[in-house]
Amino acid sequence: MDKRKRDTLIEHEEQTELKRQKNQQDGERGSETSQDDEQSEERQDEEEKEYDDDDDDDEDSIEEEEEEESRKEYQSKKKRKSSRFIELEAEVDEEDDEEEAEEGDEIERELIDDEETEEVEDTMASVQQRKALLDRMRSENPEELRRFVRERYGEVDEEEEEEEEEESQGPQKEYIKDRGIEQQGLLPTVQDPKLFLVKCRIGREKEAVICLLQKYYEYYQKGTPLDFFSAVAPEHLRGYVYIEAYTADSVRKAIDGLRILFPNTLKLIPIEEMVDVLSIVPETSQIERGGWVRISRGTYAGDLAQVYDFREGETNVTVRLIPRLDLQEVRNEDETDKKRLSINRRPPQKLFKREEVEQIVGSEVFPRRDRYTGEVFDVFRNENYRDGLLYKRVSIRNIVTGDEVAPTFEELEMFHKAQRLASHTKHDEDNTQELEDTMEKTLELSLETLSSDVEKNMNFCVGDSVIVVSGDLKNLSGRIEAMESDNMVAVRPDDPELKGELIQFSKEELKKYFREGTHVKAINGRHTGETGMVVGISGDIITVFSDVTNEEVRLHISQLTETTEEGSSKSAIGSFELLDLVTLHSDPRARGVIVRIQRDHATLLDTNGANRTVPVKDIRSKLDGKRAQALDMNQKPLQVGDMVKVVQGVHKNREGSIRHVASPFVFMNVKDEPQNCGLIVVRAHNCQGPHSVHGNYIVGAPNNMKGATLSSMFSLGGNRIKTDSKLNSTVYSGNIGKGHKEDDKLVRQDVLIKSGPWKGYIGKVVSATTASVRVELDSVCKTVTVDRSRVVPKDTAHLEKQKQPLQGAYTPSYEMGSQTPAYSGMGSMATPLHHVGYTPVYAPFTPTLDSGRRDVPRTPIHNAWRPTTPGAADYSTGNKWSDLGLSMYSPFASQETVMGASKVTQTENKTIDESVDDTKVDHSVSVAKAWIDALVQHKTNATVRGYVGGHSPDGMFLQLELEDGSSGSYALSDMQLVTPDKSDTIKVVDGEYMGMKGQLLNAEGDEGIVQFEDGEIKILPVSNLGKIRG
Amino acid sequence: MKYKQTAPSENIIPQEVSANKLRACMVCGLVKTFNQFVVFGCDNCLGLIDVRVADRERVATVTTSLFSGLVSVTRPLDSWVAKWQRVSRLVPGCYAIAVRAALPEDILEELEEKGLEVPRTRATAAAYEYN
Repeated sequence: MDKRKRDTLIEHEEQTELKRQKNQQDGERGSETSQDDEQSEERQDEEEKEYDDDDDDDEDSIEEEEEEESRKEYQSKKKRKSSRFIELEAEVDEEDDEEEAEEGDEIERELIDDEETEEVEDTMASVQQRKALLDRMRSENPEELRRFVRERYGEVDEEEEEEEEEESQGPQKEYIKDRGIEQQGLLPTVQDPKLFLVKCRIGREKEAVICLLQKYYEYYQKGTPLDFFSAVAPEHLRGYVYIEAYTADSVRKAIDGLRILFPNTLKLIPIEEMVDVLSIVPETSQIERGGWVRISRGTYAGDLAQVYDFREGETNVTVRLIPRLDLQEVRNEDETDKKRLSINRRPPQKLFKREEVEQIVGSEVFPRRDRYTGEVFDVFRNENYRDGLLYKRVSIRNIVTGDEVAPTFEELEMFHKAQRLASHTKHDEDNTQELEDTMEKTLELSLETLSSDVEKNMNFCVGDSVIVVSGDLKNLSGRIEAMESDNMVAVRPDDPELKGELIQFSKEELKKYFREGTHVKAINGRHTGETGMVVGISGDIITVFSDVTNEEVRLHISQLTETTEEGSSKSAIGSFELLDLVTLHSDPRARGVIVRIQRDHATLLDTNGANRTVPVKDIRSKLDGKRAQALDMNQKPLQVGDMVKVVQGVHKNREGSIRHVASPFVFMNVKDEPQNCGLIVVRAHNCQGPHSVHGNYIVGAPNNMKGATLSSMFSLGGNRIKTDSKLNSTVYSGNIGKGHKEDDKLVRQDVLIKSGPWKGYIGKVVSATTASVRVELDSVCKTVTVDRSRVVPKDTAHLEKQKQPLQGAYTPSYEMGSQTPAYSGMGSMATPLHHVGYTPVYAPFTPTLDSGRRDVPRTPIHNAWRPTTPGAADYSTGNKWSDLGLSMYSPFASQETVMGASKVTQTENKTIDESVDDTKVDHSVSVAKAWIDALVQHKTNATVRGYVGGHSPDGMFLQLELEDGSSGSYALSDMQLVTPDKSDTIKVVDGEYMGMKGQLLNAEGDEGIVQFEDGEIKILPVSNLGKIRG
Repeated sequence: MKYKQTAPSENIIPQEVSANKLRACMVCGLVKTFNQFVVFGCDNCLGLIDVRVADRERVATVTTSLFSGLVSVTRPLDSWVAKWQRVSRLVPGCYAIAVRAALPEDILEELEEKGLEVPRTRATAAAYEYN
């Protein structure tokens, strides 16, 4: 039995049953709820059976017939008890028994009327149904679920039911066909609601439709339902939506308040056009694996891409394309996250090379398995790369498919190049390999098929070798002798027999052909103007070994012509010459150096290190970089002609002279660079300029450094230091540009910050001015600007600390003449010690000092001090002498006197100690001590004259051995030293050399030339000298 | 009939209006947001999406963003558009005019096994028609 017939039959019987049941139910309505449980149970059983039957039907129709009786029974029972909501339909069906399938519209209309009366009942049924269904869902039994779904959707009108079953049985095509016919039955009739066209804000059509539904819902909630049935936003119609309603007024009410719809534009759609509104435009997917598409948005807009992976039903497609990566920029971003240079500029297409990326950006690129596909890619900045190509997922909305794509030979050639580079790397996974192979095949195919397309506009030139590709004379080869008309050329055949005559061909019949070894010239495309030798031929693709670049390029035959021209080493084009630094009209911020000139194109080496081929028209102006400057790593200006060394980046350790400066980049002439006319482009701050060599010298000479630093800090102005500064400035003067001060000595020094918010931090000075320095902190990733006085070089930092508390102490020692020589000998350690080197410190060292002073120059002594630096610190902190020194001995000369005396007489420190509170006494004692052995005379009575033998403990009185042999005691204040004469034996009573003895060699005015016992000759003030016995 | 009185439930109104957030059920063509499908399932094709487990993957498989045109049906049984689109017996809501993607074979088989025969509409039929 035919399925359809069978179903009709069943339906029939059901309907009669149902009719009966309805009447019955009307009566029963009161007790309905109480019966519910029972009913559902029964229903379950029955349905189970029914379903078994159904399954059998599919397999065996004979069996089905036999069981028909019983099934009918089940069906009717089931309907009677459960399918309350089906009643109405059944009722209607009863009216036009046989024709229900064809008259769907009518049924529907009838239903509308009936429904009003059944409203309450239906709602209840619906609620129950839903509740029961949820129960079933929870029970998680597929069988039950199935039953419920069936129950809910099973009783669709006949045509649909039929379709469904057919679909599950037969092939889909058949189903579709049937569907198409049945759709006819649904055509709108006059009774159907009308469609109204309403203008809508462009692009908001779908939004409008959704809003209308929302509005309907809200009004329904309020109890005032709107009177429209649907709203339609067809995909292909922009700026309009349709609203289905009976009257225009209903539509107005519906769209009232929706600002994206314009009620004034309401228009009724004729009934015959209604179907068109809902027409489905067949949209055959043009996306297939290996196919070519173009990206329509973003960085890659306009770029050719190959579909790598696409699954039906997805909105995204994986394509592979030539990356546009600006590695320099990427690197800069990494370094300074703030400034992004030239956002709008599109990096040139360039194949991805892992090594290059690692070199430039510094971060390593690892192969990684893609999360979704499981394939292995090189992942760099969240993008997948393989074999030089970028694999990218893009929305199908953002790609162009179909004829518009039209890949050009050059574009395909880029892909092919990537393929060739990748050919040696095999992918371990089979499926990947398979995919890649597909890609490869399509690529090859595209290249081939493309050829035929290009052929049509083949550029023939006189003199080209051609071969006939169609017609009677196929495979005849010859040479073009003349261009006859637009489409005709005259060819002289190569064949000796035919040599005499010219044959005319249309261009379509001919094809250029080249032999290996032919010298050719590119006549269009990127390589225009280049010449070279044919080294390989595969189909229409010719491999040419370029004369200029010494590279092999693959070119299409249509791009080539035979030539005898050698190279195209033009060195000037228009007003531009090779190696000029230029800017472009199209990209005014770009800077590039012309490294190759072709016919009407120039190749630039731009600041990204990339080659850019631009039409000559695009070159805006030549830049005169003679005076341009860029700052190198030491913030020193670099100029054209400077010899520099690259210290970091890709070109590390390369040296050369600067050809152009395009701050912050410099173009350098490098000897060993094979490409780009020997130019490389580097960031200026990656370079080290010539002056930096001296800079290093300074860095390596802490002494000088120290001197300078201290001089600025403490205004210590010793001669020696002055000399040092002079030295420094002479070192710099040659190379330092205007406006740069010596302060830059601090640059690149490790410093400690002494005070302020960054106190205690250690860092490296990156730049310095007279007032402040910028310090890149070691511990915190930060560069701070601090007052210059707040930093000290790190290696003196520990001394600096110790110096702090003692700073006040330097005054006395400051004027010591003796310090200048000490400086040089003491080196860096001297400075702090200076400030502790006052009396008390000297005192404990007296013996050493003594011997040292007499025998050898001071250096050894001072050297001996060096290891005691910590000791010095002890003095300053723990010893009471420090206080003493600071407070007591402000008249320095007297202090010296005391010291001298202590040395000579070995007077105990105690003496001084005891008398510390009496300045006058103290002074007398020190003077008295110094005068011992010296010849003195009375200030008023010159006859009282003699050598000092001793003094009273308070120093007020001197014991003199008078010249007359007697001795006496005289007040110190009454006595004065006898000025020594030439060749007298003398003793120094004051100043640095106090206590030393020697001979006065000569005296001129106040100055006397003294030769000490150790042979050293000094010039000292005569007033400091006392005559002693020879 | 029974839906005549059922207003569109709130859960069925797409919560997002931007077209790229919307997805259509590949069985019936109902259009909602992805999350709505995850939380409430498909209101027509019960059992297609198990709402007890928030199975996003499943939702991604049985719904698609590849559809064209949008119809919001307020009263399916009265509407000619609904009839033409064959959604007159489905819940009120937004439907795609055409769904451009078909269910994968395994899901079809699974539905058949479970007996989850849910109504195909004109929208979803289109997917098969043009494939």
